[in-house]
Amino acid sequence: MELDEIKQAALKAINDAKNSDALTSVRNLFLSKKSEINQKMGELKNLAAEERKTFGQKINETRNAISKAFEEKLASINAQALDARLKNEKIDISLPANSYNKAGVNPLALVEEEITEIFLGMGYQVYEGSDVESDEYNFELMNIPKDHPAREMQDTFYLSDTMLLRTHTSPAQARAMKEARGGPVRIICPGKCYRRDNDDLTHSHQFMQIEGLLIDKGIHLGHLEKTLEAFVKKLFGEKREIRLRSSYFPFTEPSVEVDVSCDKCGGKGCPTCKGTGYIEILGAGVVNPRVLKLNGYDPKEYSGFAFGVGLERIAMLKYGIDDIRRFYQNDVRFLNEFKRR
Amino acid sequence: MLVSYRWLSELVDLHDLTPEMVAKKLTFAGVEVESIARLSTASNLVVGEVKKCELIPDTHLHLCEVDLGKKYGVKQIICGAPNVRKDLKVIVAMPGAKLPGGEIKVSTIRGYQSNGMCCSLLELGVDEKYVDTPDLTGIHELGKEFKVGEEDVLDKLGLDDVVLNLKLLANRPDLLSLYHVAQEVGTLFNRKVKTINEPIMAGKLADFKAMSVTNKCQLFVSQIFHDITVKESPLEIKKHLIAMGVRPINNIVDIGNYVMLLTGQPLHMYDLDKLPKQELVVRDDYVGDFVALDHKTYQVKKGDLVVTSDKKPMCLAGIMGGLESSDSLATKNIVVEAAIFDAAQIRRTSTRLNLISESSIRFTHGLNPQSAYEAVNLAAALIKKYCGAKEANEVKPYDETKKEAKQFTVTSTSINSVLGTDYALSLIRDTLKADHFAISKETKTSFLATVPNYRIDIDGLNDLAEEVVRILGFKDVKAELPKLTTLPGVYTEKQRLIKEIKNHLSSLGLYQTVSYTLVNEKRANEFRLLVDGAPLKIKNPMTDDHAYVRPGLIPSLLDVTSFNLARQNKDFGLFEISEVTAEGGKSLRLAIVLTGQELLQGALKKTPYNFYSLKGYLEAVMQIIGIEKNRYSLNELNFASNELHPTRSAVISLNKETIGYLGELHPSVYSRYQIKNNQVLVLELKLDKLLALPTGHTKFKAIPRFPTVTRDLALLVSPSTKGESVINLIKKHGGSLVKQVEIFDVYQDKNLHEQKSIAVTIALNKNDGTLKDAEINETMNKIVAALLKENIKVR
Repeated sequence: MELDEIKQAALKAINDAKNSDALTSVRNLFLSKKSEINQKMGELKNLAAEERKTFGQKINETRNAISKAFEEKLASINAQALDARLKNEKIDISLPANSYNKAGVNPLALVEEEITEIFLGMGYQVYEGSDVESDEYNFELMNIPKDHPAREMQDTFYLSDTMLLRTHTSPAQARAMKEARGGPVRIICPGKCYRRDNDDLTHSHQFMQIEGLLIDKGIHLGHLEKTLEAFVKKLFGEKREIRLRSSYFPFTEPSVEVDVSCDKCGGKGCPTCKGTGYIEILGAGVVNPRVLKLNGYDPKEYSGFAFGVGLERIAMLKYGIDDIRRFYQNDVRFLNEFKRR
Repeated sequence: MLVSYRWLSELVDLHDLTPEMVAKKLTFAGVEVESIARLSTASNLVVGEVKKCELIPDTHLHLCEVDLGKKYGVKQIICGAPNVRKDLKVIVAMPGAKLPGGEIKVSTIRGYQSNGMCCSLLELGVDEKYVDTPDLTGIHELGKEFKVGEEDVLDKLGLDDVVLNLKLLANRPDLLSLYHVAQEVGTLFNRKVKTINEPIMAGKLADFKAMSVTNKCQLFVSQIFHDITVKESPLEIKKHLIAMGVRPINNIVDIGNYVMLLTGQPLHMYDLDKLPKQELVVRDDYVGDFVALDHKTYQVKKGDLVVTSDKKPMCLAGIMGGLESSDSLATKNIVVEAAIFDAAQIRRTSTRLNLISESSIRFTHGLNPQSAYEAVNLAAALIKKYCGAKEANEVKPYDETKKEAKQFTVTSTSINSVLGTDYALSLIRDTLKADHFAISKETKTSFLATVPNYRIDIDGLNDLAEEVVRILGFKDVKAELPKLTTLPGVYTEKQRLIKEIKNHLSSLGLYQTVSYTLVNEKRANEFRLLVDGAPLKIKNPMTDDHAYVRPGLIPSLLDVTSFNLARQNKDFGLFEISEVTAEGGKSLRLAIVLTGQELLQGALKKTPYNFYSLKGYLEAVMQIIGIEKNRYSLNELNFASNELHPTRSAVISLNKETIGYLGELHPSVYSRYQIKNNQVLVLELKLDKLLALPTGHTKFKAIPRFPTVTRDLALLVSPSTKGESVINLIKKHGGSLVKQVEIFDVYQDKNLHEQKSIAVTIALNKNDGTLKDAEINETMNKIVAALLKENIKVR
């Protein structure tokens, strides 16, 4: 056969090969030592020098063309085979995943962490108080002497004449002040509190608070306002506003209630905020100079502010929880709605 | 404190304001108005006179013709009240009238048309406690002063009044007086308040002794009135009382209440003729029975304040009068008392006897000593006017009060430095002046402010600053973050580790709970393996369920488990980190409870939680804290327990101390927690002990440079042989080439003839070169030989 005929026949055979075995036989037929092209190479030595050069070139071209076609066909057959194999490996991607999700967290713990970290960011330290407190720290040092009417508002669980379950996280104020020995203080204290209340939708004999106390030189009500505003915006969102209302706590003077603008209506008034546009979230004030004196400070030199946040109330507002008792039932379906993220 | 808006507006001009406007201003100034309510919201009422009244046969109903005046004429109305009769003046609700019970419509009853309804006060929405017969059983009977056709019946009866409910804070007992509420409103709206001072009723000094033999009564003012007539109070008095939440009784009692509501000073009236002696003496040394106005007998103890006459108790001072000397319809001569009793003592007595009255509330919150004189004079004027007192005699007052006024020198800095404001001294001065402070000694930079005597709450410049800001509002406060020295705002190492543990455990699929600290007696005494001392008992619990402080966490978490299982929540693990307390002090605990199947794993092949899940959580916690495994050990229970499974539990020891326990529950526990058909595992750790341990720093160790070779061995051991002891044997005898030994399979079956198979992987490595076969074989031979000595065969 002439070279052109060999080329045509080889390309056709390569093209017709259905699998890699067929392709290998084709390769043996056209490119092995015994192939026609190889025989033609042997004939070269009989040719004149001039002719030998052109014919040699032609043989090489033919062989390269066949070789290239072969490689291409081989790649294509391999690709098809891989394709077929992968099709066979098909899985049901809709089946359930292995579970590596975080489990739910009691929202009180979540809110505690979130608020704590906002104040950590402002240079506060976390002070750890105790559930069991003395009358002295819970009341006396917070300017609530025996027979003070404010004791009535905080119906107390007593363990003895002098020991009780703290009714608020405020004893942390007195303890932190004692430890600071008349120097600056910047603490928050999260903790459980207890009052003799009947448990219902909105009352619980156990509840959580975060106390805050800052004592330094030249501290005034405006510092408190801005600090709480920064806190509220971080916790509830930049659009929320706060407002102050005059109030009374024995350990602060002046005392204020702090309201946050209603999320639902943006301050216009709706059923959620009982038409007022604002929702009460915490109590605060300038530290009463009497409390400073009781705890070893000179009110002429130092002043401060303090605040107390009810965590149940914050969690109820933040997540729309309807019943305070849910926090302490720990139904895992309830817990599972709240995750560390 | 309930406030009648009508009475309030008699004291301060409110004509251009609404109750809502007044309420809002008060609320922002620290006097929260909790609610605004109308006494009656009824509409379309007309005064009618019954002209004809006939019983409808076989019913209790009357067919009436009622004259409703020119506008409405005479209408036929069916009325079922027993007291309806000819010539009676009645309140008629016309068709269209809206009453609390619904809207009135023209209707047909027993075939007769009824064009309205004759009403009782109850039907107009008046609270039952203020009404008497006939309103309780029939319809209201109007007096002669009402004219047929009049439509302002509610106004005339005082029932169109609006009541503000003030939620008073402990610092403003002065607002338990309507007059001071009026002054507060006057201050906030900058208006004048009408004076209530009455001229002193002149009269001879009575031959009567009033005094105190205890320093817990500093002031006792009294007056005697003769020839009075006790009867029903006029409407003018009654409607004021009703609006302020007080039930009218008779003119004497009502005047006492009226004066108390107005001035805040409780009064007490004694029937002069029933006193054993012409004296009233306050004592605190009376011990014995006292029969009070409520006909109950109370035990009076030493210390309780009692007003006595001839050493007999006439009144439990400031709380409730005695039955013996109380006034009645027959009373002719009375003694009126206005005294100041020690607030703390009244509180103690009132709390102990569980006896709280309008009077005791006022005493316990603190009274202005000066209002006693004012109150007696006011009462005198009213008694003269309404009880026909012919003669009044003053009694020499007993007065030991100190009359020093509280005064403060005010500068603009003293106020602005508290508030963060920039108020001018003149504005501060004017504001305090409007707040009834007396201003004197004015200079360019300061003035002297004298506190009004009824403001017993004010005792420093911070209080004055509060007055200024609550009156002027908070808008002028410059909100700015404090400029302070930078501090590292970080968790302590201990706090950071606790947070890391919480985060890790919730990542491992355990729910974090918060449960009650207070538990019942049974729970307080369960799972006490780690408890130091007896549980703490609450002296005054609300319920038996919350009577003890929990000394451990497991009972709480088991109750949570039971709660969830009862709600078909089956597979879960819980953890809680909380303080617990017992007699020995407080301790921070971590507790874990597991039941059902593991949460975190392939969804298609679940396995139940078991002992090794707990052990894994324990190791993870220890790793976070930085406590190496060789520092603690798990030991089998060496004591009898009916709470933990005897052979599937362990106590955790560290430095010879028990710092925790873990394991399966003893089968007898389940019924105590109403847990059925579920296996439950528990772990409790003394977290504070662990966090207090010194731990090493993380340091880099070189990783092996030469390849590691592994060899597996299947070993036959006796069933009681512990896996850990096999590992230790191999490590001990294998020499320095053995880097790691791990158990990868344990099983037991019949073919093993009462023996247990343990399969281990041994990792060998040399620090300074590639291991040669000879070295590996030498080590393995040593191991096998050592194991054989311990009767452990290689399979």
